[in-house]
Amino acid sequence: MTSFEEVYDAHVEFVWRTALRLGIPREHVDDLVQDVFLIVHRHLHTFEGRSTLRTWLFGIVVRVARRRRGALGAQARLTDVSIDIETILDPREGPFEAARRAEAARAVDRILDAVDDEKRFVFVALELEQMSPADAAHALGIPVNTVYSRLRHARQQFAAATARFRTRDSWRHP
Amino acid sequence: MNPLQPQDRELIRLSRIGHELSDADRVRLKAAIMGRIASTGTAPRAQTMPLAAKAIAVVTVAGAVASGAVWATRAGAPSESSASHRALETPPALVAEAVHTAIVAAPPARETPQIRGLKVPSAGRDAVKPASAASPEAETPSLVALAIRRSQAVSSPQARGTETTATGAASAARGDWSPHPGSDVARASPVAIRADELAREARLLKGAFAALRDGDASSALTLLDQHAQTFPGGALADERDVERVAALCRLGRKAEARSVADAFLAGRPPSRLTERVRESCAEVPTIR
Repeated sequence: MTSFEEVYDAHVEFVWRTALRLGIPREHVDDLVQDVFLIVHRHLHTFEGRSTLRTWLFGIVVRVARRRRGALGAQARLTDVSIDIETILDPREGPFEAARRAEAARAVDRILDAVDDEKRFVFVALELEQMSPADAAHALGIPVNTVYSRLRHARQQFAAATARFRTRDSWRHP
Repeated sequence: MNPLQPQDRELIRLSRIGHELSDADRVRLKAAIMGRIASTGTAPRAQTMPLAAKAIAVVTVAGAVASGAVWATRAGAPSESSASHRALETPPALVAEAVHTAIVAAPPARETPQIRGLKVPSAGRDAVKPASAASPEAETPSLVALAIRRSQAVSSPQARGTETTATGAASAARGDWSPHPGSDVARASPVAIRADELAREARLLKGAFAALRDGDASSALTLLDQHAQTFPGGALADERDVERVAALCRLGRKAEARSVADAFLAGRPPSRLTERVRESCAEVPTIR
């Protein structure tokens, strides 16, 4: 039986970054991670291993994040941030690979603000966490077919958003 | 079929491993969580420090080590500073002070559980501030306010029931997260260490950080030796080893630095501390 501390140590980074990716503003992420692990602490004994621990945790994070985003309302969406995709993707621009990755992660979080919430959850699970469609379906409590259709829409919205950012960038970098 | 452009895919690929939670944040969050767990139950302890308080002390020391090590190893190469490294260049003095604050501010065990629950995170916030300034992403909300709100929410059975219902509804059907409002009596962590010992450990390390900061690496080593003799398996042993690598590098004793680094890194998963060691003069090739 996995202890609470083992779960924390192994998965806190996953929970934390998932919160960021689901669009929880940075200043609320700490609070959300704490909420999630209090729930984990309370319910770990009910975890039956019918999914992986990660899938179980993802489901909890989504539910807590959904509530919190609802409570935050429009505040949760950052408007008009500037993201310079070309610079992030140009290895010559960044001195360190780690800095570039961190930049990319932040950029993707902001681009995802343009994707509808429920589609965003699917996109994060499959594209970013590379979960299987079946696991994502289990975590989100939706049919696998719905996972696929939401993924398709999420990709379209994501692609449209990056195209917008690129257009804006090209004004600045002719 | 897939509307994502190659550039989108590359951005996604990069971002998959872009969110790194620092050791300091990891421990800070754990302290806050343990504080909240403790605040929901009764766990009387005498002369011992709850795990949460230990975590607070460790986070400040870890932060100090990070800053100290960077300060020491970067001092010779100021031109190398980058966005990611600049963030770590908190003056070690500030952080060393935080170690002291954390110990002094560590909550006495005689208070009521709820008060203790409140105080652990608040002490953590004040003490950790300089350390978390080392992270560019450390925009934490007021943990004090948070703790108060939390403690009210968590300790009120009504609030707890509401939360359980709301969050448990979706999965209750699957039975893998069945709500048991009464079952969450805090299982306080059995890990508890003597507060005075931790304070002594932190004091020694604090002295070592300060010495290294002042360019007195030999004094730093003496203090680290003292720590190693007194607390061979101490709570801050890892931080001590990392600091030793930095001190040896500072003295130009590369071979010794390398052997300490080798011992430290052997079989250890990557973390901020191992990263500090790898960035030092020891330049140990990746073992994994």
